[in-house]
Amino acid sequence: MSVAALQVQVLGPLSVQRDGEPVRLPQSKKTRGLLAYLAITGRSHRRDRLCSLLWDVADDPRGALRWSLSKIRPVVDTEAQRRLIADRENVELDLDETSLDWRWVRKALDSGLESLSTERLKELESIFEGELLEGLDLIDFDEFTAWCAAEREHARNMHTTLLRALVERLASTPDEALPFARELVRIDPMSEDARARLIQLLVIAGRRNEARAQYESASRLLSELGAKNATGPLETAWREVNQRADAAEEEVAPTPATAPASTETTTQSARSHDVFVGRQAERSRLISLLDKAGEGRLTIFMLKGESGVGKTRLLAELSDEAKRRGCTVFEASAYEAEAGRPYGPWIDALRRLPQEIVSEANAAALSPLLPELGDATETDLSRDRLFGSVVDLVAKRARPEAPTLLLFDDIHWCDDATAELLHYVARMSLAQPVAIVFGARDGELIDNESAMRILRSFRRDGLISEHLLLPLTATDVAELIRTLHGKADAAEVFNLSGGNALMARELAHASGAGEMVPGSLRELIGDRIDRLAPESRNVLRWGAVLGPTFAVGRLTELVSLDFDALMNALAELERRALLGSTPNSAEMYAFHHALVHQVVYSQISEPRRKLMHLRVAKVLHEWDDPDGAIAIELAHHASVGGDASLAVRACVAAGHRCRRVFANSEAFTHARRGLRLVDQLPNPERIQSRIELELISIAARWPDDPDAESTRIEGLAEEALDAGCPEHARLAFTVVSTLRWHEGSLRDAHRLSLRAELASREGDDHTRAIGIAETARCLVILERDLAQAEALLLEARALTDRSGEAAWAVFDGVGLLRLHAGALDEAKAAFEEAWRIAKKRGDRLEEFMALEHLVMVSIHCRDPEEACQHAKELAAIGEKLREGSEGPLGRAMLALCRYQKGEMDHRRALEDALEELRNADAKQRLAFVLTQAAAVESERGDLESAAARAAEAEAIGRILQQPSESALARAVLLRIAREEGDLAAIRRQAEELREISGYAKHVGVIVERELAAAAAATGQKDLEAE
Amino acid sequence: MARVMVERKFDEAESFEDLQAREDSFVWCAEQHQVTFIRSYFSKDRKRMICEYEAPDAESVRKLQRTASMPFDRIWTALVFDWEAS
Repeated sequence: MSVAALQVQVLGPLSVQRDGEPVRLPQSKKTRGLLAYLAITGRSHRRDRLCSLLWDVADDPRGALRWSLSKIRPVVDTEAQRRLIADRENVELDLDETSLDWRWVRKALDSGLESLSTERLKELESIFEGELLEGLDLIDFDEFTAWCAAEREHARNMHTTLLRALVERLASTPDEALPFARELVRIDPMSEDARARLIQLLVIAGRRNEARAQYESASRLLSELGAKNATGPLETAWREVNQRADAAEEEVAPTPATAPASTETTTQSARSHDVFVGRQAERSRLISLLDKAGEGRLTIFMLKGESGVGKTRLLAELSDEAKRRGCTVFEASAYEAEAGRPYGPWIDALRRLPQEIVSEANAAALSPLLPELGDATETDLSRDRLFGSVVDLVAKRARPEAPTLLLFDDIHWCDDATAELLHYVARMSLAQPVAIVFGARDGELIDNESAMRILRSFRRDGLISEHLLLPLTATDVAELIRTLHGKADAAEVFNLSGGNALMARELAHASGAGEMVPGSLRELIGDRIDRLAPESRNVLRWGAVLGPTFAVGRLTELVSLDFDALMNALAELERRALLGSTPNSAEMYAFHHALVHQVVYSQISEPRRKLMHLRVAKVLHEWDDPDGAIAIELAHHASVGGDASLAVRACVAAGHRCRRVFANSEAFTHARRGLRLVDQLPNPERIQSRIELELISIAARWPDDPDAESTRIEGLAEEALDAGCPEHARLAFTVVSTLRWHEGSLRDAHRLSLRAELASREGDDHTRAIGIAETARCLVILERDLAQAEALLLEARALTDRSGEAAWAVFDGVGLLRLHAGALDEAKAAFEEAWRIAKKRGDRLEEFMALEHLVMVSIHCRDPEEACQHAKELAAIGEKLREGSEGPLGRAMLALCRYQKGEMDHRRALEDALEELRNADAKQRLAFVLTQAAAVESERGDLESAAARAAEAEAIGRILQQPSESALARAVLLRIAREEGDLAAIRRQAEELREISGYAKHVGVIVERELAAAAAATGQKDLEAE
Repeated sequence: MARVMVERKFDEAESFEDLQAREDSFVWCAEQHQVTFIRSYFSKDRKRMICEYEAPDAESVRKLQRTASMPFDRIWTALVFDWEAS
């Protein structure tokens, strides 16, 4: 291949070379992901598309994209040639065919394997340096992850095709074929054919011991993953091998699976005992923060630097010094794999505190984070109380002579909830002897919106100072080597490591142990892993799948080793400085460094990783999880493991858990992840899960277009009814009404008592629909929980549509709701339909109520003719209804309408009808008529009568707790006071009126008018409506 | 709050438990209307019944009875004269 000037390599970790020299890539993972995506897809993309791929939850996605492109440009462009082509709408990376390894290999294979010589195949195979985009995982971005997984699968297929071809062509020369056969097993570990072929080649090559080790390792893996097949190719091959006479001499070959190297260095797992060289100025500066905080002011500091440069070690020095001074230290790290675990670092920090300190805290308020402190009551569950309790705990321990230290490392990985709480604690501790110190990888901070938000806030207020930690000097490296071993060549280590402390230390170890000196940390760690005993390697891989930290108890459920063997394996891993037990807990282990975890994890092939995650998910699923803490982990393992059902259920539980601890951003992320998987499920699970996830998503983040969302969710409710899931349909209708009303709390969406009551009522769909609609009417008439009323009416309407039989209660309920909302035309149409249905059914009572409401609409629309017409019919039906207040109301409404038209001789009839209503004790109906009569009389100047009627109506409104009646009556009293020119009464009535809320919209119009008139009459603008 | 009386008459003898169960399924509705059951009086042949409630007014009890499809003849607000208190 002719070497292009620019070479982009994706078959392995992403790298770029220009004229044979490596180009430094941007540290931001998203930027590298973008570069890879543009390179591999090789076509133009709309900016919006790229934003949704990697920045869909960013505050300014286009701004973030522009920033990333500005970092990519210097990598790919030269003065002579621009490869990154971007305009306002589209972006494209124009690479030559020979510039991208991926394309070059694909083109060669397109010509057919048969046309390629063995040498050519070897050349092509050598281009694969690992999994496609190895180590570049953006697990929170499902679309990118899905695309990457598909490309990796494609690349893996190409690689295995090449390897199989090479193994077959070189079968007659096993020593030549073996490296390819081993590689084939590594990337396709579940392939029994590949395993069998390797075993056969090993035996032919006379390496029976290695063949046995391979068989045992494969057998164990397949057992652990539940894939062992007694009659499969592996077992068959092993049996055949055992049946052959061992004619050839056995060659004991050094293999990666043999005993560890003879010289072992003792690693010092406790951080404070790790070697510390150089950095005295930085150490002093950090420690001086404690003195500064001791002056009684909040001090914030950030230590930045590239991965492995030594930030964590330096922060450990600060922690140790603080503890020596008697300070309380809240310390924790954020982990990339735990971005979906809200408050993760805070929880870890609180759990690391001595028991006597935590016991000083408000246990009930802290219990959402630390369930071991006990159950919280409903009143305890509030974000303010939780945040307040943390602030109190920090402040309680803060003293000038021993300030409180908050030490959070790797905040470029911190979750949104942690960032929010950090910001809150900082704001509340401005005048406290508190020091907050962060550690962060500078280049990766930009990928974390939450961390950037709080840093911008601190920077804007001048609260934070920052320091970029530079690599060790050559002198420091020499000192490091002297302290550790004294054998390695200091200049060589400095050249290879570039002063990176982690790399220098690892190289020093490697040299001291007589290991080959590799060119990269990845190779270095890879070599160390290859030298492990097979059991230790297996344990290490399971640990990597579990996460950067893990409990030993989890391991025992996953690995097929007895306790002693597991302990031996862990001991070896500690000796090899790959793992270490965590401070304060012998049960927990952690990878020695995040980079070590990353290398080990990325070395596991994707199919194997997927199966291991699935196994972990199934183990976690068996555990009790009363407060949903495991659900977050389970959601991660199940979704990576590809078990959609388990993942979706875990996402629902994780979403609820995050909402309970007020971590809305994380709840939203879990809901979105679940929604991407939910279509893989069959109904009814699919629709049930979708509705639950939508509820969490909307509760966590209000949508930009609530109306469009409500229409979409209503469609889901219909689907739920079709699928026979009435409970979930009701839940969906509740979401719809909350979106439409822009009110109500989705936290109460379940409303257990009402739902349980509705569910207990028996009957067919139509009967239940009527019951639900009646419940909704009840709510609207009482002017309570109107959002829930809307939800119930939607549900009832859907049920009656299905039964094909319209229900009066549905239309009357909708009419009442629209009337309350001030949509008088819609209300009228609904009441007319209700009246029509009632007449058709011959139900006089329902007919009466529909007419009653039509009269009310006509009165509010100030149409006395229409009101009178309806009132006549109302009175006629009222006469036929024997028991109740209908007769008196019909007579009262007719008299009122005539009175409103100016027919004064109907005043006597009105008085008589009102008295009948009082005797029938129908207060709401009485109040309505009284208020309307009072309004008419106040307009006509009959103030004494109007005042008496309005006062009686107002008293009734208070008894019934109905805001509309109270407000209308008060408005009339205010007008009367204004007509009388009584300033004190005006003020008193206006103030009382302003206290009332929740009334109907048409009442609101009257209230505002009267308050404005009162303000104008008195010259007191504060009387106007707010 | 008012004392409201509900008079009921049945063609066949009614079981108190059946009536109670029917009313119990509307507990939520009763709460919303601020209607509280006090006591009931049954005739010996169980064909007549008087139920006593506490409620804001008689209409609240009427609404509840209709919603629950409970049969009734009359509903009225009572003035209570307590012989011992007077």
